[in-house]
Amino acid sequence: MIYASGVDMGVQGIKVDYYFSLDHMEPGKHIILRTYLDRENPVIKSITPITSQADWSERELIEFLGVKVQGHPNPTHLWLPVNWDQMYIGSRPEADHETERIDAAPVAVLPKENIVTLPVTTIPYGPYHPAFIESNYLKMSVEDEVVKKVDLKLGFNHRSVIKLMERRDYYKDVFLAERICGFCNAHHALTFSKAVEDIAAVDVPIKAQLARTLLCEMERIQSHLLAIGLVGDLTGFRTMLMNSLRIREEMQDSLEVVSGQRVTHGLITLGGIRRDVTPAQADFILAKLKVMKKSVPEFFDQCLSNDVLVERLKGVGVLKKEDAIKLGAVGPTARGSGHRIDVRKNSPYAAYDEVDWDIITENTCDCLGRVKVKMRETLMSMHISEQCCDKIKTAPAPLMAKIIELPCGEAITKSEPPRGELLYHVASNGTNTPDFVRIRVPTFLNAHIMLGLIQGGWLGDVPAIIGSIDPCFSCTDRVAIIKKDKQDIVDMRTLGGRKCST
Amino acid sequence: MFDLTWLNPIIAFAMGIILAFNLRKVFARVQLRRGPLLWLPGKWQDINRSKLLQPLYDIIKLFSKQTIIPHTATILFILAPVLALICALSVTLFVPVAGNSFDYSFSLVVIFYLLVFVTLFVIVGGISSASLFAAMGGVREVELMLANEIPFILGTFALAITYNTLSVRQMMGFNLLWNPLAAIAVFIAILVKLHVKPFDIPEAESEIVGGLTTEYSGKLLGTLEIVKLIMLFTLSALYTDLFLWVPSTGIMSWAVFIVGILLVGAAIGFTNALFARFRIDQATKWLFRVSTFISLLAIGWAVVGAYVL
Repeated sequence: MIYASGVDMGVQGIKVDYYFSLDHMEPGKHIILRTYLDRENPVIKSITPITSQADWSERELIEFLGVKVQGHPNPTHLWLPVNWDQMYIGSRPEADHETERIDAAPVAVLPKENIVTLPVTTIPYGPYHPAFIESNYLKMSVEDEVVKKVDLKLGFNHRSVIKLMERRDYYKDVFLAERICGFCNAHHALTFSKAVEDIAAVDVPIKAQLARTLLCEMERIQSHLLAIGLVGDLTGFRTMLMNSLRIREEMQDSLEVVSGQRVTHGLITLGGIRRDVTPAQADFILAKLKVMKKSVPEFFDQCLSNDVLVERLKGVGVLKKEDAIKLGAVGPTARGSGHRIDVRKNSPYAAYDEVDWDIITENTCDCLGRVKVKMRETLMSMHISEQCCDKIKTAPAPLMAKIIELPCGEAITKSEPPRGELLYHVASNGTNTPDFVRIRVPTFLNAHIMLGLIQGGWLGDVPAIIGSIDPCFSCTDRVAIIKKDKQDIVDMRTLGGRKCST
Repeated sequence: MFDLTWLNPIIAFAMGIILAFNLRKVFARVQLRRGPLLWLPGKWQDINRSKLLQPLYDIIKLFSKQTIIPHTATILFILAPVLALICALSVTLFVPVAGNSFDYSFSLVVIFYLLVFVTLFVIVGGISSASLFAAMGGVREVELMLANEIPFILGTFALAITYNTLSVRQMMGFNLLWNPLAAIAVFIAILVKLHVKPFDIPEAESEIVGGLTTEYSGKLLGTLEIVKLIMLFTLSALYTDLFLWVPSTGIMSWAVFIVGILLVGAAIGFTNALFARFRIDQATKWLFRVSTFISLLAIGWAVVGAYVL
């Protein structure tokens, strides 16, 4: 079970899809259950009691589309403010958008289940906290350093990316997809392009596949190095952060040589890649990888030989293998618990079939296992990058397959960014803008698991757990709101109550 | 004749600044960074200047900022940093600076009490700010202090047993050789008192935003920073006097003292850079077991040395 999502299709009703992925048992096998709900009274029975992986997906349905999900154990708002329904004074929300009359007072009566009303000390890891890179509101109720109850509120980085994607044509959407997240941007662009290529049924040339693989793996290296450094920073080991950033600079130089940018490379486009990866660039990358082959294992040895750091991470945030499978963990979080899933092997894309590599797992199921998985994956990614570089030097010339026209259709693709498993569902209706786009990011599931791990542990373990799961809340805050009517868009400008000039 | 001991607080503040700079420089160098600049030839002074007095500039900046007092805070919020500063300045009068101090036959005990009072006033001030993060920091600081006092007292008492006195000036000597276990125990205790990694739990930035001093700003925070500098000097000076002192007078005593302080400062800087941070329960367990054990061994060594040999 990976995702549940709904689209307001206008006259036809609200279309709800439940996506199930079974590709760890049989490569490439997925099942999608689809139903249409009545727009006036959208009611659906929740499957959260059966599998708790649907928890956040169904809360998203309740929050953004107004679907009434019966039997959901925790139907509170995740992204939107708590007093969303009372925020608009007057009966017509559309009129209020123009006049910006919002009742922005804080809610008088908090919902009963809200953690702030409990009679224990509530520590907010508030919207700004040194433990996070991005902003989100983690409320923990703490009794004597043991965390009793934890709750998460997202939505501080919400940019309505999906709704924006529906108004732009496909080529612009590739760039928009890139900017959803800073660490996994090539993977977002890759997955979106692959979905569109599947709709158009074109074959991407071999050099483009290799270049895409190379870019994705180099991005994985730099993301993992930063994540490992951040684990050090969050446990107080500032030296580890400085060293990891210094080593990461080699990889950033290689990325800059390939694409001209350090973060959002505009290299991937529909049908292939935009610029050539020349043999000179490939040689440069190979030289940098040779340097890194010495410095990266040395850095990992230095980190793991520090007893205090290992003591902070060992036995902390244990996620047993059965729980990892039941809760739907993805990425290094799952592989650190011994669960061998990896989209690159289960539903192969780009050139992963042609390079020689293996899935990395660890059996210790705790924070140390997850950090070790990231370390070994970095070394494996360097191995893959070397093979791609060697193959690119002798690959034939065509870079891009032209997409002439796009038939009506839908496509669903998955890929493996550094944090887990990314799903894109793109539908086209024959025009040059998508009909709808649905994105399911890896942090969507991992953050849910993170909350479960924090609860019941020490307060001092919270940064270690957050660091080892490495959530990317910028990815998670990308959903659009469709309220009542497809034209009615609510985005962050009206939520804040201020009028921004367009 | 004007007793040179009365200059100790000023010397403490000045050398505290240099020690803080030393700490930052060593911290940066271990991480293969450059760190704050120490010296630049005259011709290049318009590119960059020496940052030796940067800790002083930070304190002056803090004193020129607005002091925000939360409305839930009590009067102790304002009084506690001042009282802590008074206690810190008093300690410097009793710690021998190149041999100058007010010495009594029990000055070691006076130093203990005043050092504990400094930490206590910081805790009281932090907690009286009625902030969540300060409460968490206060709990951690109290636990850490309780676990730390025992090895510190036992380690210095080992020296007291050897020299059969409680006066610091008579205990001064190169005790690093005569009682190395006590040297190790007292060094670890100093690391804990100065909140140096792996023990900087109460100031854990990534967990509780500022710890005890979250709500402090402006002049009160400047006072607390001065207290930190003076504590850095005082504990380094105490360690140098007790363990690294070669008996001498006049200009040689100043040379020995300054070399000793810089060495201790460098050692503290190295330890700060090389470790992660303990969790509070791990820190107290470690201190109660390992550090107390070492200090008990140190006392055993001292007893054997004094009464058997």
